[in-house]
Amino acid sequence: MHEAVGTIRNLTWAYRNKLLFNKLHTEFPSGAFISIIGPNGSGKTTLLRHLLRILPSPRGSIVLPQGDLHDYHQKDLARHISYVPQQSRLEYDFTVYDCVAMGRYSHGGRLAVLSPEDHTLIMQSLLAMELSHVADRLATELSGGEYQRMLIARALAQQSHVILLDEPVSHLDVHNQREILTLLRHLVDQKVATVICVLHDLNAVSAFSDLVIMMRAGEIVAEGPAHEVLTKERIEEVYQVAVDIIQREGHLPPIILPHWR
Amino acid sequence: MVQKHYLPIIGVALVILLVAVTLSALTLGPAGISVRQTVAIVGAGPSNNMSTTFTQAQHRIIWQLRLPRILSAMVAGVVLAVSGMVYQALFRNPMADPYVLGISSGAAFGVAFAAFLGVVGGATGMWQVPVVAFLGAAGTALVIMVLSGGVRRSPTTLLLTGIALNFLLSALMTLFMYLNRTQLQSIMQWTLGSFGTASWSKLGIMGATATLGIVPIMFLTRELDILLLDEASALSIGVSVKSVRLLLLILSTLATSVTVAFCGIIGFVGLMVPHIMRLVTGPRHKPLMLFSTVGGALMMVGADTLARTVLGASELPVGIVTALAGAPLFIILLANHRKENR
Repeated sequence: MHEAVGTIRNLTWAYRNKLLFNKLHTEFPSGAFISIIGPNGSGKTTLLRHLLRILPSPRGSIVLPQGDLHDYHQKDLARHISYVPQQSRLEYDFTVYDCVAMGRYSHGGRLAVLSPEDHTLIMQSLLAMELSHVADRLATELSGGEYQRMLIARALAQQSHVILLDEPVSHLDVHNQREILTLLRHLVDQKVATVICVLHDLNAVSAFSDLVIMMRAGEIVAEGPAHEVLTKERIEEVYQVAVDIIQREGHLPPIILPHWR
Repeated sequence: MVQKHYLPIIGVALVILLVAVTLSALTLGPAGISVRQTVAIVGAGPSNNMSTTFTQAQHRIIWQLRLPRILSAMVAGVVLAVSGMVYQALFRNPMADPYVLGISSGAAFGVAFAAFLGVVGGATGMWQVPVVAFLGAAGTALVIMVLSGGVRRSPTTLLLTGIALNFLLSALMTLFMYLNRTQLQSIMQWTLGSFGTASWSKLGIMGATATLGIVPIMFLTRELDILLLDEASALSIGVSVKSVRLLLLILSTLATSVTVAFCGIIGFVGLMVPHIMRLVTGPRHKPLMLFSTVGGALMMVGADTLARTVLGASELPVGIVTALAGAPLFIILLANHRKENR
């Protein structure tokens, strides 16, 4: 693959005297749909939060194209990595347009004035997420799927090289899940951004990802293409659930079926 | 929220209303000066020109008493309304304002404590009062930050800390009053709020500090919008949350404390004005700040005029007027808000 959008080297991190990461090492290749998976508490969200520099500095380093993560100015970091949080809900009556416009902050000057170029990019982002018809509606009035697409539109308006998403579809119905993941896949295919996404649905992971990073208890247990990582034995070991993997014809991804009973 | 294209019309209407209220405030009072005379006196300038339309005494009342008083009320209104708006965004809580958080009490406490120790009052110059007020307010802000910072900083924790501090500071000020009854009157003045002692020199200090505190906030309205999101989102959008928050806290605390130093604790303006204006502008801080500036001035000049005229000869503390007007209106707003949202 191409150069990396981020490299994690010897990341060591303890929270309340409990060691979560011990010399974690991985690389995020540019232009890929990267899924981070693993059971609850395996450190997926914590890893994202380190990439966003929300948590106090860990030991080890996170290297981005222009140097160490901790040397980045906040606005420069925002132009490299944007973020779609997990199930956030806005309590204020901003319009959809205003919310997406916030993504332009890291490109703007001191005065809170949006340039014509900003407006064009905001409209393009809304269009890409199929939201232009609700631009003037209040964000609080959107459905779950629309709201999630609005957050992705905000990330698009930010024009970052990487979009981080923390379980972007976990509270949506199957139709909306597929729609959002397809939109994200398009972004990668059209070389708009590299997508790094925490996901739970293994079938979605297998259908959309170029690279899968599987974690358990703060360690990376496997990384590679979906068909290499998502084997019956490994899933059963990591998740402690029996599964069947049903192969399909052609290039269709296999179906992973957990045994519910 | 009204349609965006109506905002300029409403804005202009508010400014016209402010001019009208200011003019009536200049005219109203026991001295019986007419509108025509008021306009002539203001037009004549500060130096006492002889005229056939007004007397020297009337000129003095307008230029030495009413004008500095009304302008002080305007500055205080702007400062409290904008500070309230900033605190509401900083703590992501619509109930936050300098009064509720205890910042105003902190400033008043600083002045009361210094007066108790004999540091200010009597022969000391005018600049000591705002300095001790700022120290008191900044100390309170610091205590709020430290007490609620150790725990994961939730808006509710911060607010409760402020309310608890408010109780403590009020109790301490009551103690000072009890221990030192000779100063009862002057401490009472800070706890109830009044523009009765306004003067051009005080207005100068107030205006300068207000400019220093409020003008930079005009350049931070985009950050204020983004601070309404969760912290992770705000950071990822590119706002240096910690330093921007600290800067905003220092700016608004500076402006508030100097206002309190000269005018005392005036509650509800910081809570009410941004609330009412948000109904017009929506949550975006650029229009909200402009409207809160005009609205704050308007509300305070109106409240002060009411405070000094409603009882005829004697005067009410303006803090009582703002509380009496503010509290019921706030309850109505709260009821409407709940109906709208859920």
